[in-house]
Amino acid sequence: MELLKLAISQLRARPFNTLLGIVMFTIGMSIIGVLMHFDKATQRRIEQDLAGVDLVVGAKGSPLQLILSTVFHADYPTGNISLAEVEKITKNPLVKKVIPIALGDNYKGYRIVGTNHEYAKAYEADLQEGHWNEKVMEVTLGHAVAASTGLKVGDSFSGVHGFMEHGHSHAQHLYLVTGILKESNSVIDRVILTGVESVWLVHSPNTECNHEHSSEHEHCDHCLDQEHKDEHAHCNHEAHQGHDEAHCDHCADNKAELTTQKVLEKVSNKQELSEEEMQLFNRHKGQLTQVRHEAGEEITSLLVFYNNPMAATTLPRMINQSTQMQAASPALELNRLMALLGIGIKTLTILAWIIIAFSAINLLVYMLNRLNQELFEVALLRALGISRFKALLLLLLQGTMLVLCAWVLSIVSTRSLLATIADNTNQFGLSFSNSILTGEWYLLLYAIVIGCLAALIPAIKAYNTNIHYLLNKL
Amino acid sequence: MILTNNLIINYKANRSIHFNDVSIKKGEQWLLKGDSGTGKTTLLHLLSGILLPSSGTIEINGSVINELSRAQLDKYRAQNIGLIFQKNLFVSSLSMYNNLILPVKLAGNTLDKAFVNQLSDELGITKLIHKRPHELSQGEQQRFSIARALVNKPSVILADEPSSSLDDTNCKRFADMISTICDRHEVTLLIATHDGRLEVQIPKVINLNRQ
Repeated sequence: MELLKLAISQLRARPFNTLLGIVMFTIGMSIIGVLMHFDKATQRRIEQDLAGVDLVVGAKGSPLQLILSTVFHADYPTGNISLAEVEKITKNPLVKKVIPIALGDNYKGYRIVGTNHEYAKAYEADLQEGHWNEKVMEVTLGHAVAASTGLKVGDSFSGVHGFMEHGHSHAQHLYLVTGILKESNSVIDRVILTGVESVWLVHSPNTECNHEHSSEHEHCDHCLDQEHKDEHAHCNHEAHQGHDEAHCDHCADNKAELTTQKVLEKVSNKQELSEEEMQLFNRHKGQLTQVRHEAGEEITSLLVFYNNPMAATTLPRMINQSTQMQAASPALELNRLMALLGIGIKTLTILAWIIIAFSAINLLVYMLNRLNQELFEVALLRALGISRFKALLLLLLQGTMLVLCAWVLSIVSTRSLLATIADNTNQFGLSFSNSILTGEWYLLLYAIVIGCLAALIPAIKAYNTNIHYLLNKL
Repeated sequence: MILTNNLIINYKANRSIHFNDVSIKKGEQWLLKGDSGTGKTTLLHLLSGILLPSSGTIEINGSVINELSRAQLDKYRAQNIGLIFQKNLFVSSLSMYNNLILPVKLAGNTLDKAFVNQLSDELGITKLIHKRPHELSQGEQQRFSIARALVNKPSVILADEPSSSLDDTNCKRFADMISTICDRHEVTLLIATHDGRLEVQIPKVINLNRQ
């Protein structure tokens, strides 16, 4: 106990050097601590977001992009896949369950995900209020979406095409909020769930281009034109992202649009139609049916759950080789991604250990200098009856305490840094734990060893102090 | 009681010092005199267990201390011997009070606060105990050195050239003070010195000669 008090008093006697030593160790350990928490939070987030999905099937392209866009909603989709192809996968005996995903729009940066209720079940999401979206254009909001946008049950909103917050608005199609989810700390907190049919409806070329479109599209009645329909088929397609609305120049003129509108109004008011109007209505109706049918044939991707482990070896190969789609395994792709990210994390970790090594050298130099200046104090303590071992322990204690202080400070600073990171990375939904990670306990252990090693040379010098010689020199 | 018998210490290969036998009774006060290099400090360090003799025996209060292990010697020194050095050495990071009670703590003894207060009063250092070593004068530091040497209630005080840097007035004051306080507490005192001024208060002298 007396040694401890003595060690503390000696450290306090030189506050600047002590503080410098502590700060240097703290910086190194804080960097490592932040990386540990970041790694842990990322792993946890990935595990939660994967929700047991074995395979993701989508349009050909980058498999990582497919996983990121479909599972994490963090990239643009690779394209669309046809329902006919999807049907084949669904019926495959190796497949236990599939969940369709239809993307295309966002609201204030939060993606509107067309899917079924299996999606929410996969994430074990529960309702906080309201009820699940059942009908077309009804939506259930993720917890973070509701908190961030302020939308409540019963509110309406329209989506914005693509995944950027600002862009072409589907103002004529209002979504109705029917429910809000409880917080689940997974990707579902940050999405807006609706039926696939809602996405199809919003992106159906006819309904999209008929009315109340954004200003560039107001003149666009091209949907009545079969030829032009093909050009618009991508409206429910991700290629539409960044789509140049200028193509609407070759649409039919406004007059035809107005006529169609008039006809539609007459129909809804149950008024009589002229022969010409009847023809126009029939053409329009036929067109709608065809478009709805074609839009309904495609989704963005499919989340696949295996029936048995055998599927992992055969199903992806079968899909990749014999269909126009690609199958990507989230586990494999994320391993690849983490390997890439790992290089950066490893570099930072090495940098942090270099800082810690420099801190140890700084501690060694500081303690040696101090010992040289205060060697007579060691001789005094030895003369007063402190044993050689206690003299050694005194120096080791100082090194250990310095590192211990740095570790405690690093725990505090790590959490402050993580809170700042979390505040600035809301969109990634990373949640950091405040508890001390096993790795941080190990870090303490390593740090104590390093602190002791740094103090060892001065400690040995103190141990070997020749008091007779030193006192004779007085 | 301090008894030495045929004490020899070897140093620097073929050199050695052979000390005359010493016999000091409990409570006696002696000066250890001799020219430089005669081994005054070495003998004090042998008696305090800081050095081990090459041959011969040292007996203090019935214990043959040269038979003790290093760790036992450290403990023995902490509990039984008070040391006063030529220069006033203190732990600079501690207050004078903590410096004063340090030997008690290091020896693992229970602190007798009343005794500490009594010593402080006797030596006139009560008002200085919260200061740091560098804030005190040489004389004040020396009084703390005496108090620290006595704080563990040792049976023997060994002082090494304590008056070498003192003027006549302070030298006399020191000699009076240590002599009186050792008498009062029945402590055996041995002062290694070449300072003849101390003989006024401590007339018993052991002379060390080069052999």
